[in-house]
Amino acid sequence: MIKRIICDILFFAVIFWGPWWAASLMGFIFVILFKNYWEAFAAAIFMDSIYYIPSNKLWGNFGIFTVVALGEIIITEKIRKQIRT
Amino acid sequence: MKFLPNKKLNNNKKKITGGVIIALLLIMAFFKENVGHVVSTPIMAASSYLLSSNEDVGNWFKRNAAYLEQKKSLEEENGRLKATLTELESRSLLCRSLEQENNQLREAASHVTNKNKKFITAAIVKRPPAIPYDTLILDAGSESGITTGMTVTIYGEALLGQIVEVFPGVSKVKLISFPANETSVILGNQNISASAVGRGGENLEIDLPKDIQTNIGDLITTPGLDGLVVGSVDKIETNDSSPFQKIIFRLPINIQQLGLVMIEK
Repeated sequence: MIKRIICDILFFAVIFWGPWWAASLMGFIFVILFKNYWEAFAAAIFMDSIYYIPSNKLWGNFGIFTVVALGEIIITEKIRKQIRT
Repeated sequence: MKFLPNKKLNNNKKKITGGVIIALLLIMAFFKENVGHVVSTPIMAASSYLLSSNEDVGNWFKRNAAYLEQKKSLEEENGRLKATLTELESRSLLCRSLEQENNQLREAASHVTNKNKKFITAAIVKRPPAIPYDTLILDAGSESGITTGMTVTIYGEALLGQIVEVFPGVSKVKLISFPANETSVILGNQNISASAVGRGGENLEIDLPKDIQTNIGDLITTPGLDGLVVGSVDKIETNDSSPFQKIIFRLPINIQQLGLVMIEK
């Protein structure tokens, strides 16, 4: 639990003060390491709120971080369940 | 005593969770403007102080890594930069005389130009490639008099983008190179009217019929007497099977070297 909290603090610090690719890489790794790491989805919405500009397309409100984070969490949890069984 | 897992309850939970997620996504898709602003406003308000901090890890490493460079390479670079500076100073003298001549010709032709433009200066807080999108975050917002739709320029001479979102302490700029963003431009000495479409990565493109003569280096500006510079032709792509040629160019300045922008009031 403490490890997860420390990782969360580092993760959000990199979002503000580091490049986007560093934050994305950290999020990607933490989703694999931790179970139900929905902090990555929250961070993705956070980053898209700050940096993304919605377009006029139907799904234009979703930035790339939000879509990728949601997809990665769902797929990782499914694979985790399959590996367990 | 054994407790069997309640499959029906688990299935119902999954259905409810899935339904809630789909409903949220549909609300976000159909009411995107309202929802987007409701979500982003508190986040930007809470994080504007952190964003305003210019000290980020990348810049910290760049500054400290400079101490590790060898003295000789620094001396060589210093010499090169001095030579470039001398060349630019002499070109600047030529530009000033051309500017003077231009003003005299305009006065002679009795064209009235608006010299009373007012600008708000703002510093860039976040820029590509720290941001994956073609946007800028500036350290000035509604408190400084910035409103959405204002034009963002480089020293009032070159077009950079437009203010799209404003918060009390920060504002967001959509660069002209933002994917699918269209800008009306005038191309070259022939004053060809065209539409420049953003490709992302600070690149833009113009599609023109093949029979229009264009050259690399032709200036691209916005329409009007006081047109802003948009760029110059970098590359021309032609295809035998297509009647069009693709003109590709970049933003007029390297954003990495840009510290301040001027926002036209």
